[in-house]
Amino acid sequence: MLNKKTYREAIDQLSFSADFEERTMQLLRQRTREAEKENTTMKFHSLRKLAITAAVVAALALSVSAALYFLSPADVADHYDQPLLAEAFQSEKAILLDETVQTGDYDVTLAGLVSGAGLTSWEANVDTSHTYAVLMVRRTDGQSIDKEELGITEYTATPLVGGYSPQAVNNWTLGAFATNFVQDGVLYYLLDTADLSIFANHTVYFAFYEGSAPNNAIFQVAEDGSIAFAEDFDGVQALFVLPLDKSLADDAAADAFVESTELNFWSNERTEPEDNVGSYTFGEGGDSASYSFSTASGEWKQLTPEEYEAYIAEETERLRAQVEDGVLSQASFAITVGEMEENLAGLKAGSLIAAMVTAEDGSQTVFVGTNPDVIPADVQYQETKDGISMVIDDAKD
Amino acid sequence: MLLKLASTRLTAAADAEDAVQETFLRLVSCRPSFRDAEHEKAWLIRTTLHRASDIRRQAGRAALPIEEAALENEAAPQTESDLLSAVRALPENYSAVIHLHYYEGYSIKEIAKLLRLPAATVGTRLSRGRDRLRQMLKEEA
Repeated sequence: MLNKKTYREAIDQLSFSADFEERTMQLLRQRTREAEKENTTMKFHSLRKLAITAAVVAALALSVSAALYFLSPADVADHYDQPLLAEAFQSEKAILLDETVQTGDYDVTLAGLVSGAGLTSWEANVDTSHTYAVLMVRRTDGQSIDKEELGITEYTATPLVGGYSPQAVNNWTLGAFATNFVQDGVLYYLLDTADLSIFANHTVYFAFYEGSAPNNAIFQVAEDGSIAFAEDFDGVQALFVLPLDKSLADDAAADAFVESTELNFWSNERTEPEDNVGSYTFGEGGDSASYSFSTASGEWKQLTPEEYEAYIAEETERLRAQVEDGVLSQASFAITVGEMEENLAGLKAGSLIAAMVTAEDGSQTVFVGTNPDVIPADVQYQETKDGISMVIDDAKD
Repeated sequence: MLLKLASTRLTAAADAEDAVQETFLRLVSCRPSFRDAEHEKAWLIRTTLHRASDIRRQAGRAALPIEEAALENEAAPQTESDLLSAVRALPENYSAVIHLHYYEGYSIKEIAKLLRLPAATVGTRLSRGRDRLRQMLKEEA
């Protein structure tokens, strides 16, 4: 027997680890600390290389304090002992940009990028394609840059994609790995991210800025989906557009990726966060919000397959408008239309029945169910201030 | 709440715990800006469901040696009623709506908002999910 009581009894039989909450909080705290420790780890590695290079440069009687030559993207790959990546940066597949933006006391140069699979020893799956980008930052006054000035946890180098929320496509959702080192007074970044080629039909940006995960204090998104730094954002900021090969674009894969993040929402409006955002309750009961049915009655009318087909046409147009307005995702639209088509097939076959319920205010809802149970005795159609709800009276189940 | 929701798709408690932990790790890593607490809750629910589906699909592809599978079952025994088994056997579209209605007490309109679906779709899934459960439970009896 299915009713709320029996369902809850079945679910309440489930047991979980007694220390789940404690373990999870520890994990979350550890994740936060790891982000801060990465910088220390990288510094240990880069100091060794810097010492060797400084000795070589000194032997050649070149100034160490002012960089007179810059490493190429292939040199940066060599620095990290990644010969296949170095070779890729020297191949025709590489995009060598050498574009510079001045911001505050720094010149930020996007040196180049390349995409491919199996290019580094860091990739667990050699068949998965990645995009690698090299960025360099130097002081405009010619002085040597100190790695602490632009700490990897305080400054971010990330891809962004026009037409999608900066929250949905960025380092964090792409599973990107950023590493940097200083050589001859210049700071070099190497970013390793999921292959950006699938987004090539969109404007793909590369952003370097002071700050962490993208938010509307740092970025603004225009109506056409283009992304820019917020006018009042005064931190270090540089934005580049990547000239990706459109023949490699995969719109379906791009949409699917963005959909999977559940983060494709954005508002340029800045509001104060509510006090209860960020507080989570584990264990029984979850959060304390309670939801209750409100009740009323409505007139219901069984629909013929032809009438349901006409309803599908109207509903499809209504949902399509919601997709264009950004209220409904394309994936949800496709699923819903597919289900309505399945329902129509069932109606024509006689296995399903459709009914339209009209409330006193004229609002209508369509229900489809197994013939003859589409309006079970325990179901009532109830009117709320927002429309119609279907309420299942469990006492009659 | 999220643990039980994940359990409608995952048999092992450890897998449900992993799904929920990974949801919170993503929240900490990505730090999205939500409109309000309701928006955040909806995101947590949908992300947990996605993650539980991913784990379930991965488990379906992984072929454990028989001995290891037996050890796994012994290590994480779960008492499972016929009803819970039936819910887990439902298509994921139906089980999510069934759980949010019957356990969490959400209305159709509220479920529609949480899952970003039209209300009529939620109503249909709820109705058909119930029909399928009745059928399965009759067959079990």
